[in-house]
Amino acid sequence: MPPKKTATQLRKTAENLFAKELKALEREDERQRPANWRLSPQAAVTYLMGGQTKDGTDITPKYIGNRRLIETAVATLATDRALLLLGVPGTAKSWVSEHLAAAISGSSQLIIQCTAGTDENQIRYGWNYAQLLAKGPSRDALVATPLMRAMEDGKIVRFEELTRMGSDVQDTLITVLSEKMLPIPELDDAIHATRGFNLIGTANNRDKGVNDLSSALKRRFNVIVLPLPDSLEEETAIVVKRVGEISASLQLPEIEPAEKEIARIVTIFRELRDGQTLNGSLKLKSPTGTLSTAEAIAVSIGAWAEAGHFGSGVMDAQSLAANITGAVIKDPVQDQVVMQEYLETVMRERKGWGDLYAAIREVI
Amino acid sequence: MADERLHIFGVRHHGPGSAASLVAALDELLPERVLIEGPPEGDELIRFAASKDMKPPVALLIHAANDPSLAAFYPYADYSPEWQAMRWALKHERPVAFMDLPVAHKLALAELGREEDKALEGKAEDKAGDAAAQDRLETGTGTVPETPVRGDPMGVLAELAGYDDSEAWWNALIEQSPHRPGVFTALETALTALREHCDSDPSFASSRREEDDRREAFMRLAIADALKETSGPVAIITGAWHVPALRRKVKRADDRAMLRKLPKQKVTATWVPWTDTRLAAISGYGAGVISPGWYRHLWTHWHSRPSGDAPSIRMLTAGWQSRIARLLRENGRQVDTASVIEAARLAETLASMRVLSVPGLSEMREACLATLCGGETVPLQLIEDQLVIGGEVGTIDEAVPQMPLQADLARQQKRVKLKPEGLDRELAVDLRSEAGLAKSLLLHRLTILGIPWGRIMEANHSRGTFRERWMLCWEPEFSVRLAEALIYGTTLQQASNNCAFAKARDAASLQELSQAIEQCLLAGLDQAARSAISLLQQRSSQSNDIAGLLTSVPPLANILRYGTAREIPESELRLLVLSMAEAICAGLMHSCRRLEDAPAEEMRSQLAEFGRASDLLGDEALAENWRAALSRLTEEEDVAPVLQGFAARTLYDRSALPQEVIALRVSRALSPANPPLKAGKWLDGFLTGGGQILLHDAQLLAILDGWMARQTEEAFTNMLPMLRMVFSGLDKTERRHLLDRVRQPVSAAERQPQSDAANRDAPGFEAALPMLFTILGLDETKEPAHE
Repeated sequence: MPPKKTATQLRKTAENLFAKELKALEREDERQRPANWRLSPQAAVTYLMGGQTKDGTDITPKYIGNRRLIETAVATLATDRALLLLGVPGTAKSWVSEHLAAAISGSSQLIIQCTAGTDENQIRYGWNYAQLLAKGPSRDALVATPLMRAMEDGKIVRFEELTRMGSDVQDTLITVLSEKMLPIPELDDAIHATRGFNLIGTANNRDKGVNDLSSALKRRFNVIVLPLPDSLEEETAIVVKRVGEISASLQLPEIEPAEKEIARIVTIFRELRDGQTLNGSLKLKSPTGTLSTAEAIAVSIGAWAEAGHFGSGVMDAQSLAANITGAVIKDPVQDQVVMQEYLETVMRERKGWGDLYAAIREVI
Repeated sequence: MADERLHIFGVRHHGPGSAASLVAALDELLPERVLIEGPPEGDELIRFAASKDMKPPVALLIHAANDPSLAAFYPYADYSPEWQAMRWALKHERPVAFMDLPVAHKLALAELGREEDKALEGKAEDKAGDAAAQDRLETGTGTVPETPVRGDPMGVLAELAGYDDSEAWWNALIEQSPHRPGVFTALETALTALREHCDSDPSFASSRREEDDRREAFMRLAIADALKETSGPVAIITGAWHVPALRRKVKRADDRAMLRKLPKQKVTATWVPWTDTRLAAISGYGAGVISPGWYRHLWTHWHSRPSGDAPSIRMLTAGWQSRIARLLRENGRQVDTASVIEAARLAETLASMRVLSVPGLSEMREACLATLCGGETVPLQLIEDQLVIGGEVGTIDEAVPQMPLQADLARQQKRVKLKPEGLDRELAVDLRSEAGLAKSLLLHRLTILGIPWGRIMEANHSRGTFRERWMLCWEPEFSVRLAEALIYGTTLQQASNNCAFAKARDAASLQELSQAIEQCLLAGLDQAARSAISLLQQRSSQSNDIAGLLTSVPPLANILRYGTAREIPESELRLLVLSMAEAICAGLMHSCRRLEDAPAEEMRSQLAEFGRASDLLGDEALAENWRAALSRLTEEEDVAPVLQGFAARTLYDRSALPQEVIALRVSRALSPANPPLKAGKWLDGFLTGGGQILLHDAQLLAILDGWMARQTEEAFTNMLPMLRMVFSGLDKTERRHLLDRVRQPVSAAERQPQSDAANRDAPGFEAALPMLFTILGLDETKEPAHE
């Protein structure tokens, strides 16, 4: 996909945004690279985990967490095995898969968004019916899917939310993964994958009612479970970093540094998610939503925008209140109770939280 | 001392890589004599290492001759370089000996320390204390590598090499790689620099320093002697930490001076089986390794491959991953072979990404997590103990001179076909079969000797009397306990008999004594049981400790009624139990008088237990006496009300008194003159075991009803908690039934004069209903309207 008008693009792709880092790593990477890989496995890990190149280019960390997980992920791709990233919502599955694809293939744009409506034609290939009628079945009449293009070019294709598409459609992938080829019976032909081809799937292991992976397919994946951040500090660091990046790309008005407020958001989210206060002294009800790290980021961005555009230029209790309640109360009946209880039992007692307590009380 | 005939090999005490490199080096060097860091008291025992029947893990046990609890262990695994050095020397018929400071000095010093510290002796019984004491004793040989491998000094080297911790560094460099010839020289160079640094730096000084100096002095002398006596090369096998010190040039006189005036102990040495669990560092063993299972795998892979094929990293990885797969399958998880292949490939790729020549334990773990376990850690946690630690227990050649009890135990184990294992294993025995009974007797006897190899899982009378479920787990220090038990005798039967009788003799209470009898009977120790029974007879006749008798009877009655699927001296026991029961009936009144609340409560449950036990005995005369005793209880004035109530209830249940009499007792206990609290307690006792009685007996209900209606508000509030407790014994439907009964207008026939006061149609009754709901614990809103 040729880069077009990236300056006005709302969200830049990973390879675009971090082009400089990728180039710096590629330039000095002398380790052995698997065929068609842009970086060596070690350099790919460095790209994700952060560090510094010899020429002094800083590599920002893309994933904050266990380095060993990312090493296992890259090693999986290097052994020709498909990679499945599992995790509860908001644990950076898609984020990691995008950056892995960018680091390894130089492009994160070969992507299939799986939904209940995805059918086999969107995975294998479609037909250009005008061509088909005019010239009969031929390679020219085929419409390539991202999977097919990835196989031909030896690149990585990403399947987002793999378990959301029907099980029968999922099973199309079995032959692709084990034989590394895509048969085209209509033409008595097949597409054989070029070296470097691989597949990263992401799926949610919390949502119920999605189509579970068949065991035949699951066997063909190496599975890595991305955990929720271990500690409050780690999670706060992630949120602060991402909020900084996003607000810059959204060109939000500058505001005072807001680490403290973000720490409060993360605290609330963690406590409600875990069903207990941080020190474990009080049991709490959990709301229906997952309250992931990603949601904490969204709330912080919302509060930032509110403070910047309408408020005093400082992220304060007022700007937090509506955003937090909006995120927590997904079910107007049950979650309302959860929030109320949290408000009265935890927030009211907590030192220095009086402003937030009053502000949220006003909102709900 | 700079003799080129001297070759010092610095090793890790349990390291497969060290062991493999050592064997290769010995093959090349062909030394004329081999000296090993270890206790010289074990010299005589080295020859057994060549025996096929010696299967590590085994340990040298050296203990003070007069006090077996003062002991030190020197464990060896297959992959311990010392073990391999012994075997190499024996195979090549070279003289081999231990060269460390004799344990006799260490034990003597430890004894001195022990006398100073009486508190420690008190703790010697509990396991933690034992382990700590042992660790201290082992400080000499056992824990040496702790300093180099886990402590700070080695961390310095690891950090220089760019590793996170010294364990990872040492593993990658020494233990996980195939044999590298230059490794000993390289290591010595590094350690010499390190020791120079440490020895001159006072911050590294420790309490161990003095002892280390002494040991190194002794070893230097031993090495000098060996060199003098031989003309060829001499191989020294020692912990890597000591290498520089052993090379150091020190005057013989100075070394001798260090060793002067050390106290000494007479000691006995033998081989004992050891376990994988106790080789693991997690058990608190100072020289322990993180994963005995992984080290064994490495060792068998690099060294003793059964088939002749060349070792390869692929085989090593695949072998480990198939072990994981097998364990997962045994735990009911589907694992296909294709995934095992993928796991092996992933582990290798991870290793090469991390620039390791061989995948380590963490690469293996991460690889199998992503492939075999589908990302979930739960199945892996299930098998981790078996995988990483392993449950092996070593075996000992029968020719090894063993302590008599140890030998007897080995014979018995063979006879009943029970093998000691290091991880928990469940065992169900059927006492009706001869084999099952033999197993049970053995385990019970060991328990008496303080060797809980098996722990019984449930009281044996809860699920039939002919079955026992045990949880077995062998701990190496049981060997010490066996040595300690020698004072009781030289066979298990003799020792447990004597030990049980000693326990019975020292029993502080009648209850303890009867428990001892029970144990004897379970362990089939006739002699001790008979002696203990006559002891109990003497003591119970002298004692007027009714409470003690009350608790002694039930277990014995149980045995008499259900038996233990064993031969027991039944008639003596029966006579004894009956006489004790009669004593209780006679003295009951006395011990139930003027009791406070808490003792009265305790007495109630003891009486209930005893009542059940006396039923089991099935003796008519006893039953009669028991009823009479209870009846007297209900009549006496100063007996605790809860006991009176209980007695009345028991008599009611057994129809020992006519219903009218019971009604009379109830109404008397609940009469207005009695303080409400006392009446409440009585009621509590009467409703022991459930209030269902009120559902079936309208008369009782009416009396109770009337009593409650009479109470003033204040008295009623005071009694509320207790009443709630009384009725909480009823389940929900029963409570609802009860409420229905109270609501219904009482028929004329059921109506009692007392209950006339309560008119159910009065508005007051309606008003009181909510409170009744509360007492009975019923939710009014859920109650369908009734009338």
